[in-house]
Amino acid sequence: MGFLAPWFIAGVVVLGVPVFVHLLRRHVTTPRPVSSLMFFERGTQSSTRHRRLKYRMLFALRAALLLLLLLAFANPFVRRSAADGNARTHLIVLDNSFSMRAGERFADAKRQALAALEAKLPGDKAQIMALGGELEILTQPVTDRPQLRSTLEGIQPGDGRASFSDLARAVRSVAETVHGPIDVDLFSDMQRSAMPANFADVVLPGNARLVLHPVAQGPTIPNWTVESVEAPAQLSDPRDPRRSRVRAVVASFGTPAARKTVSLVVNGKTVATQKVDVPANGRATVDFAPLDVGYGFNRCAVAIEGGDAFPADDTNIFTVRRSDAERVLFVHDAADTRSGTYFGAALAAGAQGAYVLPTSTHLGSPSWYSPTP
Amino acid sequence: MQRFLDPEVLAGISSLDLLAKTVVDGFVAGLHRSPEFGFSQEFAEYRAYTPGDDLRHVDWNLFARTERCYLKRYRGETNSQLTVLLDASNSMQYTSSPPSKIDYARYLAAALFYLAIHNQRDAAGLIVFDEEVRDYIRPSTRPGQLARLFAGLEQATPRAQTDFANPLQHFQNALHRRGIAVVISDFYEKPETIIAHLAPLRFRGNEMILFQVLDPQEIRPALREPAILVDLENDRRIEVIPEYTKNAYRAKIDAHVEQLRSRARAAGMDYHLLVTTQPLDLALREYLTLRQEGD
Repeated sequence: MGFLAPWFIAGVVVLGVPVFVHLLRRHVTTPRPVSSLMFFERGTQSSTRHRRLKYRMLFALRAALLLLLLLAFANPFVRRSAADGNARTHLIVLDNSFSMRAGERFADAKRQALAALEAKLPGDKAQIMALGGELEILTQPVTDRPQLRSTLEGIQPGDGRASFSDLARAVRSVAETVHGPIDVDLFSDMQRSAMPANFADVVLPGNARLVLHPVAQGPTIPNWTVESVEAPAQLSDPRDPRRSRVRAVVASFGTPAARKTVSLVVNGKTVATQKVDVPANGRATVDFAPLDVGYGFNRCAVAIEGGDAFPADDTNIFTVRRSDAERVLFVHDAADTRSGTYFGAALAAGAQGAYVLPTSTHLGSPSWYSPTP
Repeated sequence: MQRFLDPEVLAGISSLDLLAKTVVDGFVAGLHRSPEFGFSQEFAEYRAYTPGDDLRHVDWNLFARTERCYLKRYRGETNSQLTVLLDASNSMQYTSSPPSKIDYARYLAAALFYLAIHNQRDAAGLIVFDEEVRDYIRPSTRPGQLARLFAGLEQATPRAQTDFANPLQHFQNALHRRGIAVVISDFYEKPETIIAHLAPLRFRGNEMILFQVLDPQEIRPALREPAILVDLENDRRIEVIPEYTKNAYRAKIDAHVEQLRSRARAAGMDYHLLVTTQPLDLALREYLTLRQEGD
């Protein structure tokens, strides 16, 4: 055991305060009048008796309180034995992000993780984590090998994106409670997109050792994907050139330049098709305009022709609601001619809704406005 | 009525006159139920007139027949002279809780005076002393005597030390008739010395009653830690430890009381220890008993 702030131990001299209160300060006698000293005899208490503590329980409590305060400020710690020092904690992190679906990546990663779990010493603790769209801590640090194995085998590939900063944050959190050495075994395809913008976000604590197990060996698997779609959530006028359109971005990873067919599907029916040249490892933009959909909610999708190892990201699904524009009554001063313009422009700028602000030169209510009696 | 004899209640009465009346009336009301005491007007004897006697008590019928002055005396009127010797030294001002010893002594003396003069028509006098006689009121039955005695008690404030020699010598010189002498003091003196000074009074035929007035804390002092004690009479100081007061002191004060009691009885005197928390009826009862025995 030691102290991180041993200088606070010098504060032990403060314990003299209760000693003074209970030992010295109490020895004060005030003269008491008596009728006669005829039957009294002088008696001096021995020095030992004078120095005897008064109210021992109270003194003990006061001294203990001060001592505990001093020890708390001295920040004590317990040095673990050598046996405890050799025990390691294994963090087995299995990447189950979307990219792990490619080929045999996920199966390979899981197999290697199981092998690493079997290789750990019987006394070592292990904790299983899944690094998908959101880091999941699936077990506590335990030595129960069957439980760890079943947990590991239960992990399935997801659709999210891995984040190494989330992993580093989790490891730092674990290190606050686990003071022994930590081995972080990461089984991943090491996607660049998992790296944060700031490298400081992936700094690991001093007692953690990172062991990488990359599973994306060999040539890069080509992949085309509809990376993003920009479409109105609500549409009132299909003839509005500003809003009635769908813009999709097609990206390619590890592919040569190719000409791809991109389709706009509305309610399961292909309503438009375009050819687009996608550069090698680049992006291309496709616009579908106008967007003619029926009233109500419409299930739309932008799909790219297949042919790669990741069919799930070949389609980007979205919805568009067709409805009439909402009429808005704007009440203003008759002399104020500009406020209506500004308010109408502000409503038109909203992407989620369609509003109409009709103008009226009459002082009365507009013809379409019929207030409820 | 017993409640009115409680010193704690009496401490709240400022007038000695009223206090004495309260005590005695309460005491007498209790006596009426007891056949042992009484204020009978039963004829006892004739006594020759001497100068100073109250002319109201002269039997004029007898004077008409014999041309001699005789006083008609009744049972309960003999030995009818009470003298209270009140110790007013500094030690009497000690108190742990009201009343103080001097106040208790005043109550006691006032009640005795009231009982003697008002109820018994005895002559009563007062000697206030410390190391010498500070005040002397001759025993008398004259009107206003009770007021004079109460005034003397009011002026008896504690001071100086106790010395029995001079006051008792003065009492012997002033004594012309036998009577009852009541000494009220805390008796912080050697018992043999006290009795040696009081014995001559007894030898001259006086009935003696010693009332030793002590505070409860003087009998069983409570000392929790070492303390410096200051003597109220000579301002001497000593340090005393609690163990001493628990053991040796109690043995000494008990021995002192017992020795004073035994020596007083051996000398034919009555002795009573009165604690300031004790009702006054014991003292009044003692006075009446002694008075009846003297008849």
